[in-house]
Amino acid sequence: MFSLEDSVCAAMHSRKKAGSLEMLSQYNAAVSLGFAASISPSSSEINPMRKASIKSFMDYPHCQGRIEPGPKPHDFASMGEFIVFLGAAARVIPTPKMRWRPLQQSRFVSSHWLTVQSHLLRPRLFPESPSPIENCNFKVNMTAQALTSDQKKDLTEIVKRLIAPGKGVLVLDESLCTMTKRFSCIGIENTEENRRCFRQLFVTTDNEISNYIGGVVLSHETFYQKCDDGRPFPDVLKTKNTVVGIKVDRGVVPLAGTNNETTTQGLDGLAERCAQYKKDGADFAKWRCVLKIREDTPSPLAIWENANVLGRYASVCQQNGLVPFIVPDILSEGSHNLKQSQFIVEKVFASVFKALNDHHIFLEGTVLQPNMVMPGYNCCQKYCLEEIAIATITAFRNTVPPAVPGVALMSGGQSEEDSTMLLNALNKCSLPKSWILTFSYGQPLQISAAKIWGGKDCNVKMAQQEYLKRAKALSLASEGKYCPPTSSRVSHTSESLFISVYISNNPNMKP
Amino acid sequence: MPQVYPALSAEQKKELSDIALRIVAPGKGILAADESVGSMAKRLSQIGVENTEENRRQYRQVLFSADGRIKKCIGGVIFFHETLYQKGDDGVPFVRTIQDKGIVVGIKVDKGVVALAGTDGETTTQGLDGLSERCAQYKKDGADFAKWRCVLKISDHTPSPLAILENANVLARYASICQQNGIVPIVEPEILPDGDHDLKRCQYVTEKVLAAVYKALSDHHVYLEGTLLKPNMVTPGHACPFKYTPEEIAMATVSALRRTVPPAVPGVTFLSGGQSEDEASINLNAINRCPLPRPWALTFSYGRALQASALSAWRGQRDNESAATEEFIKRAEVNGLAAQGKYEGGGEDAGAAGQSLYIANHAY
Repeated sequence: MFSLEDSVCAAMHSRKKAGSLEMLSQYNAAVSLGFAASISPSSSEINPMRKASIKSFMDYPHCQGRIEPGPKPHDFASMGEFIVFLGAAARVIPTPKMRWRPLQQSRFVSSHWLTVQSHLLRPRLFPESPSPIENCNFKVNMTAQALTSDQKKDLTEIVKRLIAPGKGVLVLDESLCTMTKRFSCIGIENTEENRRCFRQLFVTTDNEISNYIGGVVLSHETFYQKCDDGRPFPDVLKTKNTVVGIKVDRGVVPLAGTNNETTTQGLDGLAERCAQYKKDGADFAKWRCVLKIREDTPSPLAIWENANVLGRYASVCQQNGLVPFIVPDILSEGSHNLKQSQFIVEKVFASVFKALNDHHIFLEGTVLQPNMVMPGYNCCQKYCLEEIAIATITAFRNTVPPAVPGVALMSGGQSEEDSTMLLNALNKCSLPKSWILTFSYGQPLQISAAKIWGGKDCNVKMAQQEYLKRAKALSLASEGKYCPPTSSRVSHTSESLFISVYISNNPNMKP
Repeated sequence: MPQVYPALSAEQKKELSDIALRIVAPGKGILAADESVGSMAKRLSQIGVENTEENRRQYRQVLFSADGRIKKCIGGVIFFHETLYQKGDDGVPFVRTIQDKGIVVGIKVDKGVVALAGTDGETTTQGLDGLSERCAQYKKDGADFAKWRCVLKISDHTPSPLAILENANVLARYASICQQNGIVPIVEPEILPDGDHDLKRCQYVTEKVLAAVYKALSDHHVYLEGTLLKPNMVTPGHACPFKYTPEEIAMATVSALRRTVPPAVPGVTFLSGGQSEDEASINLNAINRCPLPRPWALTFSYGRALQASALSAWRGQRDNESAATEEFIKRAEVNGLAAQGKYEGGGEDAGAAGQSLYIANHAY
């Protein structure tokens, strides 16, 4: 990570050696210095110094008339100038009218997000000021507490209700295109009403469900939908003592200069959104980052960037009383074997936890939502349950600090039965675990119920029974007590079960 | 990126893991007897003994001639280079005396701190040059673990990001090289107790430092099950006006570890950092009674806190040797109990056990 001082010195030097600094790394430096220096200001104050800097910022030659959509890096004479510009921008607290994005993919300027308390950039804005480099007064308050003890207590209370032995999370936050695929499998149209009815099925299941499901993740649309009786979904869930969660990210965007790698957007105005969701009944949030394993990926940039954005998101959530679910999803596409997968997972998690530490995240008030360590879909080698369990838990033991209260695993496209057996194997594995290992499943909890429902009201009760059944099975699996029914597709109940490579569930291979 | 170039084979990993588990077996800790010649000068001058090689040999002999009682409470002994090649009066090399008691032999391999230019008196630690060959030789000569000490201090502007990064990195390089040579690395990022900072500040800094250390260990592909951590306990600075109970120190320490140390690490062996013998035992006991769940062994790697009484009982006199050895065995047994949270005494002992062993700006 570049220090503020380093970046500005580089900026000063680059004016003489144009092009000698690699653009992307300098951009990253600017972004990272933005991240590193963020202090949440009170948005109602704009002191005279800042008013002056807003004015001169707007007078800055390259800025004029270009507040929306904002100048691009190549508009500047050199990368150095661009960095100084970013720094100047960072000193400004934009008023709501001044929402601007200097770069299309920039996320770091939002309504009152960023203030750099430094006088280093003064010479650009106020040429008459003395050169400040030698008088750099950049002080980081190393003892500022991110959260009060009450805030920490609230977060840990939420986690206790959410993740307990025998309880996991139902994920109901599928995007619109995923819902199109799901509904087409059961032959119904993807309308808002159908989505409402579908989600209602799960939300209004018998109270018995609260023994198995501690929390439900909703998308924004579902969060504000109501049941047939007019009650909002969050209220219904709360009467069942289920914690309500909300997906807050805004999907993946490409990372330029990489092999189709992505980061995740959604930080803009995140604090206000979280505060509103909290008022409206949410107590936890979810944000998904995605990484792929190929010859040359995940690249160091992808790992660092996604870890960092997870750190930012988690920080904003905790400030607003929401427990952040940390989701570094490493996809199972590819032909890598189990060892390679474990290696990558460990590298990614080490970065994630370093970023969480750098962003002062209160680990006891978070939940990790990872995928299990799996071989790629196209890997020829077969692995038994125990091997997968050992690889997964070893990876976690090597990277996940004990302060993290729970790990809620994703199913990653596995079938209902396979995902239950795997969770069971993980909980039966003899390696010591310092966190609760439970589920945060979408499809494995929904698919059978969805098939039974088929869009018809008369099938709702039966579908709900099926959902209850799956939830109960997963509850047992999360305590290592699950016994598969002998009549199921699974051929035997002995310890060792070969999982044929997930061809039947590989989305790439579906007809 | 997905290329896995295994740093260690399965056999190497097993060997390292077994050694580490033997050192931190329940009720056992480490005697740090690796004081450099310069440090020994200070110790011996306190009891009016000349700092000669022979005197240093005799002093270590006092410790190593302890009888079978220390088998239950000492899992490892850290040697200084000179001592590794010394013999007892009976002609038996110290290494063999220790190994015959079932105790693992360790060796300090760093070469002291050097200044980091452009910082406020911060340092890194040198010793990487030829480290691989030295480790291979030490392994042949009986050592199964090693120790490397990095030093950080708390003040208004320290530890700086550079100091944290550099020390974490050099610890990871050292650890990597040790493991390649079948030696378990003890990773020691000591944060000095100098200063007037309070407990919260120390906890904050400890968490930042340990997070950086474990990120560096991950980057350098170090096998965590074959390492041990030797951190400071989280304590207020020596000049801090507030006093804290052992329970508060224990909570702060265990919380900091829970947030940064992955469960794969088999044991955390605390340094005593200038606490008195008594304090060091009481705090270790409180740590082991702390209600927070902890997946690693929490034990001791004490130098001064195990030796102070023995040293002052010895005073360089042959006649005092057995009394001095008794003092050492006593402290070792107390700490063995503390490492299981079973120590009931403490506090009443006057004399050497209660004296603060704080030396400002301590360097070994």
